[in-house]
Amino acid sequence: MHKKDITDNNIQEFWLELSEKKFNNNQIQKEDIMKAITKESHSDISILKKRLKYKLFYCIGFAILFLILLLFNLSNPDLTILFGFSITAYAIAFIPMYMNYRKVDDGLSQDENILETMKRNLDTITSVLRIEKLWGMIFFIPAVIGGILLGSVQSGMSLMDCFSDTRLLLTMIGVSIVLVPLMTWGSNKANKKAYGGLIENLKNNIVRLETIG
Amino acid sequence: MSESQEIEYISQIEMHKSIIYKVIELYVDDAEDKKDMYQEVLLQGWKSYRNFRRDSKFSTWLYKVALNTALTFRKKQKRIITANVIASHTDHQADENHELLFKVIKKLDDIEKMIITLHLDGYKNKEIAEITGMTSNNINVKLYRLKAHIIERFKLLYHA
Repeated sequence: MHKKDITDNNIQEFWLELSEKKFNNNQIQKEDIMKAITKESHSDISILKKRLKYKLFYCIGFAILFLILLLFNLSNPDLTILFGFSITAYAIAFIPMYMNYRKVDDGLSQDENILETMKRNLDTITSVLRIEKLWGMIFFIPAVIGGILLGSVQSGMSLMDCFSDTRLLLTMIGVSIVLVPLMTWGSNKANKKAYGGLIENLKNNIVRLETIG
Repeated sequence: MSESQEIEYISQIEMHKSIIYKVIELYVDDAEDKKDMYQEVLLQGWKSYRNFRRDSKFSTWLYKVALNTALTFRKKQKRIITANVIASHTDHQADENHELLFKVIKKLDDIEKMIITLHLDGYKNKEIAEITGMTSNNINVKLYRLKAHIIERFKLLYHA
């Protein structure tokens, strides 16, 4: 074929020739396919799923740790309440996280079109990030308050004493007031850096697919 | 999945490899990104293969997998390396024309690239609608405009 313009009539012929020359000559090795399908996925959804899995392990691990501590301190009602509260907090964090983990599917359904898959991916990413933020609140804030209370209980104070001690109460409230917005800000910033571009891209592509014409 | 499915998957991929290469070349520039996307498409395809029903075309399904991966793929860096010219050619002038057309299409945005590639590969508007989730009417209008834009851009570059 010699140098010629493309027109509405020959553009497809042009493209098919191009495809034949440019892409059909590539050799695909069986070994490469085997290697690729046994590797771990680096897709964002897979990474998020893995992150959720680790957090579930943390939850289970800490719940077991607090359960052991509780069993060893059954004679101390204050410590029993404190550890019982911690176990409850982890259980509360675990349930929605586990539900989300089960929902995250990094495979593709044949019945889904690209628009539906993108919407599902966007929904998955935003809900996982939301749940991670909640996990952060449940994990860190009770940990800090629990740490303050545990220190006080071990130095001889009862839980009732702790809650009636204005200075200690103010410290706990102050820590919570500082920690909650700080953590929200920090996680928002980290998530924006890690996933902001991807979320924006998904949103744009969804809008484009829905409104293009 | 069973060994027979593995063999079946590999042979299907070998038969339709051009789809994977085409999508990769259209959506990424960097050599490392290309390698990563190639592996990710094969992996996503394999993970979803259990959902693949034999009554539909593997090529259409693979296109969907590859495009889905491309649209959510995160490029590592903004390094620009010109696309590989894979084959060794004899007709230099024809290749120049082909490269020019490829360059024009590659410059389109992600969604436009997807629509025009499917169209030029012979998919009917109804099939494109099923793959992408757009309406046939929207595709019709968009294709009309896209083709006009591509031809115009091609002419501009061609005569430059």
